[in-house]
Amino acid sequence: MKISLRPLSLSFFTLWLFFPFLSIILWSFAAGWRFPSLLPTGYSLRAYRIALNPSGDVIRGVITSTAIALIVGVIATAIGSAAGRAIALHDFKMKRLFQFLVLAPLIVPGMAVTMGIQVLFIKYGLADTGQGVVLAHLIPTVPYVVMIMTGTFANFDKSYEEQGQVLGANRFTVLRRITLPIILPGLAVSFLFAFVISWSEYILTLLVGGGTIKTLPMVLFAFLRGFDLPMVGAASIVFMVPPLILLRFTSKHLVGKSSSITGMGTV
Amino acid sequence: MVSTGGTTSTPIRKPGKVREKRIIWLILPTALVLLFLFFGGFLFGILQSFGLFSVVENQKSSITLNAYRSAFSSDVVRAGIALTFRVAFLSTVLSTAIALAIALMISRTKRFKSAIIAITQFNIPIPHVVAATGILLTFSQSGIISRLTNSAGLTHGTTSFPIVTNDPFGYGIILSYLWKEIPFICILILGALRGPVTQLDETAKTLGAGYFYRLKRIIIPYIFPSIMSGTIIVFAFSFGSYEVPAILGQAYPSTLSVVAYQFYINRDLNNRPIAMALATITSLIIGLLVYFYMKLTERTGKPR
Repeated sequence: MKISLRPLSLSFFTLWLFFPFLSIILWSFAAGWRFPSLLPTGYSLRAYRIALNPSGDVIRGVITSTAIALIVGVIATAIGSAAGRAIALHDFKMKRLFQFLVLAPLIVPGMAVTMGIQVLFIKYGLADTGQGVVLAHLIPTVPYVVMIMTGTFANFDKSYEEQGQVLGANRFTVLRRITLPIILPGLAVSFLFAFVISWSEYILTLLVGGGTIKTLPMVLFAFLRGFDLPMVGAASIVFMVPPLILLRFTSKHLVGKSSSITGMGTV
Repeated sequence: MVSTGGTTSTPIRKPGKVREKRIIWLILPTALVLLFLFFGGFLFGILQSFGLFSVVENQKSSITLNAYRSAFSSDVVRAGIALTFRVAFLSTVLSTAIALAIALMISRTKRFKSAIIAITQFNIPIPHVVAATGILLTFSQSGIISRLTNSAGLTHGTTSFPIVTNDPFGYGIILSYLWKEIPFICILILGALRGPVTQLDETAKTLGAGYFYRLKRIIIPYIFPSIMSGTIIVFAFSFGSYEVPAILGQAYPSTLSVVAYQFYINRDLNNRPIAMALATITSLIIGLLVYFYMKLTERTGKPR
C-alpha cells in the first residue's frame, strides 16, 4: 500500500510546484485569455517588448535590483563568513550572546526593525538612498551567511593553513590559495542566499527607499495593482530568472555530498 | 634562546593574544551590523511605540501607553491578530508535516530521484512576490485551476469556484507560504539525511530493524535539529512578513504586518506609534513562541 502511494504523492507534489509557473508563463505570452478557455486565445510578445525596453520600468528595476543585491551579497558574504569562522573555530568572550544576536534577525520581522530605524536614517540622510537600502538589506542577509559559514568552517581543518604558513606563504597567499578554495562552496551558497533575499525584498526597500529606489518587486506590485496580467507575467519571469541562474551554479552545493546548508541545522 | 621558565612564558602567551585580536576583527563587522542596524532599529521601534522620538513636530516626548491602548481597542488589529495566528500556525504545521513526508519519500525513492530534488530546489530562490503572483494566477476564481474544473464540469463559471485568494480566512496566503516553505524544509531535511545518519541507518537495517523503528529511533532524532530550524524560520517568517498578505489578502481582515504598514504610512503622523506598537507586539509574540517551542523540544533535540 505504502509503496504505491509514494509515486502518486511525489507526482502530485511536483505538479503542485509546477502550476504557478505554468500560469505565469502562459499569462506572459497571452494576447487574450478570457475565462472559460483553458489556454490563451492569442499569443503575443507585447508584454516582453514593454518589459525589455531599455528605458522601461522593468529594465530600470532590474538594474537597481542587481546593483543593490550584488553589493549586499558581497558585503554580507564577506562579513558573515568572518563571523562564521570565529564561531566555528574559536572561543571568545560572550560567544553565546553573539550567536544569539546573530540568530535574532531570523525571528524578529525585518519590517519591525526597519520601521524603528527609519527615524535615524532620516536624521543621517540615509532615507531614500541606495546606501540606506543596502544597510537595511544587511539585516536579514548577514544571519543566513553566518549560519551557512559556521557550518562550512565546522568541517574546516586549520592545519592546512598552518602548513602553508610553515612552508613560507604569507597570510594573503594562505587565504587565496588554501582557505578560499576550501570554503568556496559555502561562500557560493552564502552569496546565493544573500543575493536572493536582497533581490526579493520588498517592504524594507519601500520603507527605506520611500519609492525613490524602485527595485523590481516594486515594479511587479505596480503591475499587480493595475491588473495588467501579461505584464505581471513578463515582469515575474524577468524577476525570477537571475536567482535561477545563480541556483544553477550553486545547486550542487545545496544538496550534495558536501551540502552547505547543514549549517542551518544549528539554529 | 635557552631561557628559564620566566622568560619562556612570554612567547607562549603571545600567540594567544594575537589570536584574540584577530577574532575581534572577525566578529566586529557582523557585530556592528547587528548592534547598530538590527538591535538599534528594534530598540528605537520600541521607544517610539512608547511615544518617544515622536515624528510629529512640536510634540513633547513623554512615555505613554496610548499607542498600545489604541492598538488593542482597534477592530482592525484584533481581526489582524486572529488572522495572523491562523495563517502562521497553519502554514508552519502543514509545511513542516508535508515537507517531512515528502523528504522521506524522496530519500527512499530510486527512480527520478535527482529530477525530483532538482524540481524541489528550483523553488527555493523564487521571490515570495512571484510565488504569491503565481498562486493568484493559479487559484483565483478565474485562475487555471478554476478553468480546469470548469471544463471538467466540476464548477460552472467563475463564481462557483471557491474563493481561495484574497479571502477572509487566508487560504491564499497559506497556499503561497506552503508553496515556498515545503521545498525549503525539504531541502534542509534532505541535507541532514546526507550526513552520517546514512551509515547508522544502514547498520540498523543490516541488524534487522524495520523502517518505522529506524525512523523513530535513528532518522527522526538525527534530522530533528534541521526540522526545528526550518519550523522556527517558517513560523517567524509567515507571522511577520508583508509581501504575501499584501498580494493575496484582503483589506479587512489583514495580517498584523499589513495593518502595521497601513498605520505607518497614514498621513496622520500620530498613527506612527501605533505601527511601532504593532511591530513590537509582533516581535514579542514570535520571540515568546519560539522560546517556548525551543524549551519544549529541548529533550527531543538531542540526537541518539
